[in-house]
Amino acid sequence: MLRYTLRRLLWMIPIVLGVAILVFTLMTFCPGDPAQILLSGSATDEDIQALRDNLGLNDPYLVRLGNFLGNTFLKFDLGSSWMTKVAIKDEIATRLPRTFTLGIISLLISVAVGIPLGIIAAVNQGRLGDNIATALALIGASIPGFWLALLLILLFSVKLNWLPSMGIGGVKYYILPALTGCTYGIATLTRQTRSSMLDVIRSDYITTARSKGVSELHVITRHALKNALIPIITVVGTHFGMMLGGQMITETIFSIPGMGSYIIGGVNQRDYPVVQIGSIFLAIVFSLSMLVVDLLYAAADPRIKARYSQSAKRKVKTK
Amino acid sequence: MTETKNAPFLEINDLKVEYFTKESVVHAVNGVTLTLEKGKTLGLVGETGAGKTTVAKSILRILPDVGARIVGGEIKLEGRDLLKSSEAEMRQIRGKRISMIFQDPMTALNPVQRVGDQIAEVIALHSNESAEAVRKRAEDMLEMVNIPRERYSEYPHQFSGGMKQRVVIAIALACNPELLLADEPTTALDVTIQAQVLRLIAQLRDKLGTSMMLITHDMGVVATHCDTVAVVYAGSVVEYGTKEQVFDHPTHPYTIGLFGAIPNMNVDERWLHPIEGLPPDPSHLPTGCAFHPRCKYATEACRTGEVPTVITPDGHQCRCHNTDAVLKGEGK
Amino acid sequence: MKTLTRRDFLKVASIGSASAAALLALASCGSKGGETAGSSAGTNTNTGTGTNASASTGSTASNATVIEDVQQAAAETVETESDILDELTIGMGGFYTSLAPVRNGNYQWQIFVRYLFDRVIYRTGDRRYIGQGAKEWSVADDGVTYTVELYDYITDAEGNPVTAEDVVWMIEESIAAKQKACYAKIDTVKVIDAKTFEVKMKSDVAENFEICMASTYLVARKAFEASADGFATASVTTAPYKVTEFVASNSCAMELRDDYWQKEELLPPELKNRVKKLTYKTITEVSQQQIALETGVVDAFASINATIVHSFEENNAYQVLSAPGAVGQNIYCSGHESRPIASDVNLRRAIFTCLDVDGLIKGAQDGRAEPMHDFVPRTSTGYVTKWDNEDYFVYNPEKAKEYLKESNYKGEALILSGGTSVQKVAQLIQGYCLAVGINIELQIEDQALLSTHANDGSTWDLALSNQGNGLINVWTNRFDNTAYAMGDAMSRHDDELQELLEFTWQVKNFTEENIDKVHKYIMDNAYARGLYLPFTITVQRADIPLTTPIIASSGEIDYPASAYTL
Repeated sequence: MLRYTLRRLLWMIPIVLGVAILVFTLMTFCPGDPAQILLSGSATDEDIQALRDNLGLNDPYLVRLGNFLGNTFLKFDLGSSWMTKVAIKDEIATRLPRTFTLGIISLLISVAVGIPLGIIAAVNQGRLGDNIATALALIGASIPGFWLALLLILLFSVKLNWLPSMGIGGVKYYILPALTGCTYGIATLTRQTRSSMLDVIRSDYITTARSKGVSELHVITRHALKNALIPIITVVGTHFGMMLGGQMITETIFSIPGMGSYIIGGVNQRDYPVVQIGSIFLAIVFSLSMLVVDLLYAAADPRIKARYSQSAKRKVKTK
Repeated sequence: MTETKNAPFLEINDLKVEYFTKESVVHAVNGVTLTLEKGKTLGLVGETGAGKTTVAKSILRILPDVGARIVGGEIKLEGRDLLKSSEAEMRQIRGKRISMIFQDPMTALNPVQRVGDQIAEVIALHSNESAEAVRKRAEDMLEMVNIPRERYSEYPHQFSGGMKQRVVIAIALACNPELLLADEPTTALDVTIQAQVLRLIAQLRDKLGTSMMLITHDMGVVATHCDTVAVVYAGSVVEYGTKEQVFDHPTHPYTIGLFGAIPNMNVDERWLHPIEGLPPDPSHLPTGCAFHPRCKYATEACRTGEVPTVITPDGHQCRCHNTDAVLKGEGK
Repeated sequence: MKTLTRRDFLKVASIGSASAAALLALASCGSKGGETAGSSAGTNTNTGTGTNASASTGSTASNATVIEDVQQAAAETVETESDILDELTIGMGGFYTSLAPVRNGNYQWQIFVRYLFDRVIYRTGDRRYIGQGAKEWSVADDGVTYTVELYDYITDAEGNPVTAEDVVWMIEESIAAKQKACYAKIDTVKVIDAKTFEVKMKSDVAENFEICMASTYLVARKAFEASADGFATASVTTAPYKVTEFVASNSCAMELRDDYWQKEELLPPELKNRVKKLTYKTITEVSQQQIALETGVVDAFASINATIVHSFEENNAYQVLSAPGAVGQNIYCSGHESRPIASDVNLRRAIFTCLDVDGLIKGAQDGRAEPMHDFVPRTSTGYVTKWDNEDYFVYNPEKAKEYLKESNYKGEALILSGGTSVQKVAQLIQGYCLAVGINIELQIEDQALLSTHANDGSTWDLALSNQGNGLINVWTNRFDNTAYAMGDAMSRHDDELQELLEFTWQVKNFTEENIDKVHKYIMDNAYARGLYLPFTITVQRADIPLTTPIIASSGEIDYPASAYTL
């Protein structure tokens, strides 16, 4: 297992490098002159050219790419935002935890609601429980996040005054944003759980478990669910990855200064360093989440664990 | 020394079970009546789809929730009707008083649970012992089925088919059940392993005094291991008696056909002798006697009306209108 | 009887719940309106003497006021004994990303920057330049050499003195950073003594010096160099307020210092500080702006988005205060030789006279703007008051059609370029032009993309643009044909205009008479015209006891400088 994990971590390096080069290239060839934007309109051509020289924008592409990769990966000098002059390292250090927390809370709510709903749907297949659970999932998938956000704010902030309508602070500031982000997750998890459970519940080993006298609750939670987990873990993993990048709308509505608004702001203002470094960070976090998901597979299913160990060993044996 | 009880150990009376979908109803079990004495083995013989597994699952009441329904009859264990028991009472019985060995060992074990734990689970469910004691008992069971106890922590995918089936047997016997339902326990295994497994089951049964219902479609197995035999066709018992009675004096045309289909190894034959026709569609059973479309002896009476259960000259049961004609061999 | 299948159930369930949710939304909406006023202690604001006959007030609601005379309001507070407000939280739609003094000029004229930094010279709401760090200044006869005398007791929050050396250093840093265009106009700067320094401008264009000094923050070099990130996240301030909490792009909480360097009696009315704790919060989402006011997250919202203002009118729990903004909406014609419009004055006149500015105001600004008579607001330095009473491209479609007939226009589509924020007004203009037979094709782009060719007249025929910062700024930015590679901002080379401009913008020639000449020249040639000046609207809770508001040059209310009666 250890060897497998190490191999995966090593694989992350070319992936992150690839993302870095791709984003850098895209930003370079994207129309819009950052120098012009930085100098906000009342500048002369001279000024703009001078700033371009200053920022190194007039150097050839390969030189700039080399500098960028060298600075970022060898010297760990992440640079500063051209717009605000604030060190990107510091901004990310404050913003990433917010986006991350939001993502985790959203994920926890999705899991806590989606999986039980899916189980209820599977166990009551064709009957009322299934219909209700599936209908709820359908609604969750259809409601647009921003619309739900406004409804929730109207209800919980304006009318009931239980929760703050925007901003950051303690845990209660994360509740409404997390609820906004989790509806889609609940919908997909419910459907996936239902379908995996339905597959599993018809299995022979479930009959074996029942024939041992295991209570129905334990049949579902201990025997069926553990086996149904693999596809569910996949959904959870990709969902978490999406959460990290796709919080833009939620962050805008609730005025949360997180990674989403940082990077989008950077794109709009052609603030190259912000976009580049921000994308790299997201790539790293996403890769790590995928690694965690794959490790969870191994924890959930010993057959997969065996396969990982074998494939790692095989490389060593054929020498 | 014979031990007579007032009521037989297991008594099944007129059991009827249906599987249903929106479109059709499948009559899987149509009025099966059987008894089993304590310590004896009853063989349930018939083709695939005859309803044998359904009978066994009905005893334990582990038919699927959706689409299966017991619509009539009684199943009495030492006088007590299991079909009227509550779910909680059944859970006490399952694994402890009655347990089952399943047909396909490849899928009968939980792939993400350690093999030893699967045995320990059934032990822990029915006792109050400490975790260590339970584990020790589970390891003992492994040894009893000739699997080294060190393999407790391994997973099913690390075992061969035969060993998996032995684990299933270990699970079934872990709590010394009074009744063992063995559903074609060797069908999915190699011939060489089959003998081993059957011998193992027999040993354990003798050692523990367990009553057994052995479901099989192999007459040879019946001959070796069973005391009584019931021949099942299209969900009902067509012939029922001791092994000697049924083997020496088969009376029902279907039973005769089954024996006839077994190739004789001593004679040089060119063609096999199957029973003509095909088993009926269980959702559209023929009227009257279900076997009549394939029967040489079928008369008008066979097409309509109830089929009586008659007692043959040597004292075993047969469900047929025309036993006289059959015994005399007067077929068309 | 047909049994309900599962799919039927699902259909009904989803329609049913969607409707239920919609009903819930409607029910929650209907909660405002008819709320009673908190307290009537706060009387409505003083409107001063309106000198402006053509101002459209935009609203006749009982709780809405338009402040027209900014200067009068300021004058009134000199004599006003004001109470001190304990705390105030104000919402704003933009975001301030860093406290660093040496950075681009975005937002530098927004009022809250006054609470972050003191400057050498301060620009008031009616665009007068008053000394803040500077005690006085004078210009030599050559018209380009200025001598500035600072107060000799300026200190920052850590007690570091701020001397002429620090100021000169800050100016040099700003010139080197090239982030604010005004610094390019400084030739040299040098220290004379501890409280005096000299600035030499490259040319004697009016207002250049003042803008540079008003962009220069007072910062102690020692403190700045000691900071790890150049004050980006934590600053050592010379302003009356110190920042207690700063979350970039999100909020800024400030508290009044008791060790502010300037003496209370020397503070002019625009620089007084009557709020103890001040917090600014950024809320970009429009509906959240409204909710923030309604739930009390903010006490007032500055420059609130025009689309939600109407929900606060007629609601006596709030007051709506409008003041003329700082940035006007203008339209320019290309001067590039490849575009036919560059040489067709009648076409240009036709376009400018077919536009109904009142209609544009109603359609694009919800009535909350006033028509302009030049490119800049009337508080701008150099604005000639009589322009307000003169005809300025009066709306006359018949006349427009006549001009069109005399032009060489053959029905081709003219490209109108603009950013996404002006999409609505662009569409309205397209409509008016079509009504007289001129075809307009819209080219709306995001800001970044737009900036790559905004000054390239070969890529458009007409351009919508907004300018603030004064008449000189518009002239140098838009009409100076040495500003860009291809000419002026419209890629035009009018040497006569150039001569006129270079003559007029010199300090000694910057007189009403000469300015009027430039105005007339541009008008006659229909090179460009001003359209309208959007109001800056602040909505505040009615129970804030504001008696006299002071307006900043951006049109926002300067709450600390305003007067209160508790």
